[in-house]
Amino acid sequence: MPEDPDPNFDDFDARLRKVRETHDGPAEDHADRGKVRGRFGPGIQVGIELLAGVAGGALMGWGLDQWLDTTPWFFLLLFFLGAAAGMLNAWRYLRRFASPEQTGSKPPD
Amino acid sequence: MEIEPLHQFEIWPIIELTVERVDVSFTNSSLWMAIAVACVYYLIMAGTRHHALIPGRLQSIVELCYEFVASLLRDNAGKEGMRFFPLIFTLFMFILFGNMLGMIPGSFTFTSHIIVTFFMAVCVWIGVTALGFWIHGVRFFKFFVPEGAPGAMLPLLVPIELISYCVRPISLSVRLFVNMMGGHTMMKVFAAFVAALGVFGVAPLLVVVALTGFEFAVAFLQAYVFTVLTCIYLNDAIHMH
Repeated sequence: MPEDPDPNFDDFDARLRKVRETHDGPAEDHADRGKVRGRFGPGIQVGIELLAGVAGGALMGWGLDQWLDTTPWFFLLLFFLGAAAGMLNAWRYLRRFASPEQTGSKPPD
Repeated sequence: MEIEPLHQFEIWPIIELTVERVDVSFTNSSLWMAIAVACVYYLIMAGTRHHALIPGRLQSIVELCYEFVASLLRDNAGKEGMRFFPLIFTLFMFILFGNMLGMIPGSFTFTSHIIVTFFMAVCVWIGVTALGFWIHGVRFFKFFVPEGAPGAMLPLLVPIELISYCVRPISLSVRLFVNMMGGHTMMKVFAAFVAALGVFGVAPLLVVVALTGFEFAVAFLQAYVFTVLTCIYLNDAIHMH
């Protein structure tokens, strides 16, 4: 690590802000990034995400089957789509909460 | 000796009331919700009474809460999201006080019931979806079409995106409910061991001490996570990426 050429703390805030701005862009820019600090036991949270996908998909499929009298086709279809959706949600959750540096979100339209 | 770790989640009516054969009794759950609202109301009112330039202790707490939620909302939903600050602040304070009041021995944790958290999550979800359609009109449907995906994949990807969107209230509510209920059950189970093991009850007692601290952290964290996810969904509806 290089020596700090200016070991003076009076203007520390200003220097820190300058470094941050060149590093992150101006403060205004990352207001829109879904950025969250810290990590809170992502394991169980991801499990819930996966489970909610499968359960939600299966439930929707079952409801559609009851309504349209097509047992078991919608249930089967939405069960697998729900599992895929759960994985998608789990991946998004992990990307957002477990590694906040890599939020791949673009600026809004 | 009988161990009933789930007894704490029992709902019983305080004032029995039936309207048109629908049970609308005032229960212990309602009581603790009312207490939570009263506590938040008292905190905010007492904290902002003096408008001091140099805040006192109560005012500092209120200012902390405000700043915390405001920066959360601004970071996650941008400046446009600040229009919904009253909603987000209310949601955060209600859940936070629900969780924290639940840590008082003998009290009732209303956030440990799936129907309470599910209702809140569904309200957020419907509101956010309606907001998306209100701001973007029919173009909000483009939210379900992943960008840059080959056209042949769309019949598969759009239903997946649609389900992943519809499942949001489930994961949002289950997360809060599971964390609160699981933690409180675990505390009761270990607390029962203390009495059952006699002298050796010191070991589970230490576990209960650690769990209590952990539960306070979870109580705050889950209120925080619920609020952050609400802000993120709000951001999706406003900015649509």
